[in-house]
Amino acid sequence: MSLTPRLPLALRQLTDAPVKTAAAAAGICFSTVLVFFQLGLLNAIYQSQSRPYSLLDGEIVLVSDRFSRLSQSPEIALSDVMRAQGVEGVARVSPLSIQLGILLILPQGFTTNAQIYSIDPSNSALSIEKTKLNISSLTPYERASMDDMSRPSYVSNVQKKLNNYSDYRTNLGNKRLFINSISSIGSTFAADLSLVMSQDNLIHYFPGRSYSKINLGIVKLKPGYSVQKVLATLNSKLYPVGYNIKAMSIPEISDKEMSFWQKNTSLTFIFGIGVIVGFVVSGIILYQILYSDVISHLPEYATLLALGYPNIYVIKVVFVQAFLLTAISFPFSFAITLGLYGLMASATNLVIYMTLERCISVLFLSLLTSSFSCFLATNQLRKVDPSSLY
Amino acid sequence: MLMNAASPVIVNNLTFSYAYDQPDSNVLNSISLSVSSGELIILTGASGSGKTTLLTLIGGLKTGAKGCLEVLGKNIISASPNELLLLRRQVGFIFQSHNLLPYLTALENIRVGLEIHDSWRQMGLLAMENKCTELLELLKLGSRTLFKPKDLSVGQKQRVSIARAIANKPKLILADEPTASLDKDSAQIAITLLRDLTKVNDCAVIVVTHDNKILDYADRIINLENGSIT
Repeated sequence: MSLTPRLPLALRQLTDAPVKTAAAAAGICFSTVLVFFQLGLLNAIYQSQSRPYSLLDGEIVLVSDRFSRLSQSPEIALSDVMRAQGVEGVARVSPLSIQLGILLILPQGFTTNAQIYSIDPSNSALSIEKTKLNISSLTPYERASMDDMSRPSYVSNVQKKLNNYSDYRTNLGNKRLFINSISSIGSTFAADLSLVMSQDNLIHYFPGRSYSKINLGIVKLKPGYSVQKVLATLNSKLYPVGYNIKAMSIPEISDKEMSFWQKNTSLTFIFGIGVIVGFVVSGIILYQILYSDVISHLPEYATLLALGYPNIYVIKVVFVQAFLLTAISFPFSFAITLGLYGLMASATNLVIYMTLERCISVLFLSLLTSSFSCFLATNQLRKVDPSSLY
Repeated sequence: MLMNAASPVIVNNLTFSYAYDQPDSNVLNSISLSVSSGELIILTGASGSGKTTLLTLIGGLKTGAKGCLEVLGKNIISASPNELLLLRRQVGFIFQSHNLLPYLTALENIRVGLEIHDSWRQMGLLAMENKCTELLELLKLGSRTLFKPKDLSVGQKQRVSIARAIANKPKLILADEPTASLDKDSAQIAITLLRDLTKVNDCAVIVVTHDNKILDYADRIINLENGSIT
């Protein structure tokens, strides 16, 4: 025969003191938001480094064998890159040059780093659809397109001019530059903003560059051809081991970029500390709440022991309270985090978003932290003496 | 010392100290007594005479005594913690400070005392609630079933505590100053009920008290002085 469930003492304790429960849940909510935010930001920062690769109009990238990251990509010979045109399955090969420059921001008057993507307007390495590039705006002399995912204040300066049918006049290095259109690229660690210009204009602003030397070759395949097969052909026949060029798929080069920033910067460490601090804060808050709760309810717990309830039952009541508090606060943490992500995205143009994996892992770790705090808080309960009631 | 084999409580040469190695530290000195079913025993004595210690030892709430202590047919001197736990389920405790759970209603506070027994949980929620309601009505608290302790008077809280203690018809009830915080009428109701229980349920009731007004209800009064029965 089934047994009637016992009174839910943990739930009743919480609902009997709604203000205290709400305060406790708010404390746990705050620390969970902290964890979510740190993880989201870290992921967004890394993702933003590999975003440019998703904008390339091709499936394979040809780079120097010494390639480590996009902003410092060594030069390779255009002629070597164009050899890939003859490989079966290759539709076309497009050149892409990357250059860092100093851009003057007007009307504020200060300078900032700009990452410049240089393409052949007749053979664009960037997807026009994804980047919303106005190709014809790149052709005129001293013209460039600005990334609308750069710092909003920079973009708004440009947008104001463009809305009035004027070009935005500024300097790149010590030469004048006109920004006459807006595109969508995405910011990186290397620079505060991105520009797109033609190869002709690149060489005008950076005379040290030449047409024969580029940074990346973007290979677009014909429909129906396997990326892996063409990659294998390129790396075995055209660019074997030892050659100064290698072919990589888009996912491969994205991972390589992410890996560089993960291993060569202290971001993971810094944000990792932030995540740990978040969980520690959550654990401490919960411990304090549970400990003071146990102390204030000691006579009741002693009564339960005197009535014949086992010690483990009483400890279970506290554990259930801890899990309930964590469960109550989690949806609020989730909602607040979504709001913060949205705010962050609009302020910085970082692509920051919630993932199911992150949600599940933070919930799991929150429950784990709750368990540990509970274990410490119930230490007092293991020593409670029911004879103290007399 | 007359020992009744059916006695719920048999105490023989019981000694208790918090520090046996220290001289003159005994709280109880070779106490011997027995309590029969259907008896209401009142333990009196000055503060520090050992009354409450004896009560807690009998109830299995305290351990460390020497001698012989049989409660409900079980020698509890050498009982394991689990055996003491099972013993406590068969004893009704009435605490001086009620010790009701503040977040439960009067009915639910009694139900907590029933739920410890799987037999009651098997009978179902309705059976448990009916029992609780019946007890509250018996104790003239029928209109207070859904009240929480904070909405009950001291006397009403004590009556709920009594109801919780007797709900499962224990064969032994231990009460520590059950009338201490009650007015004359409430005290009379409480002690009358305990006395009636000894007859109706054939249970033994041991009451520790300083209240002279209830001495007349006892079948026997045992006075403790400096840990010994006088």
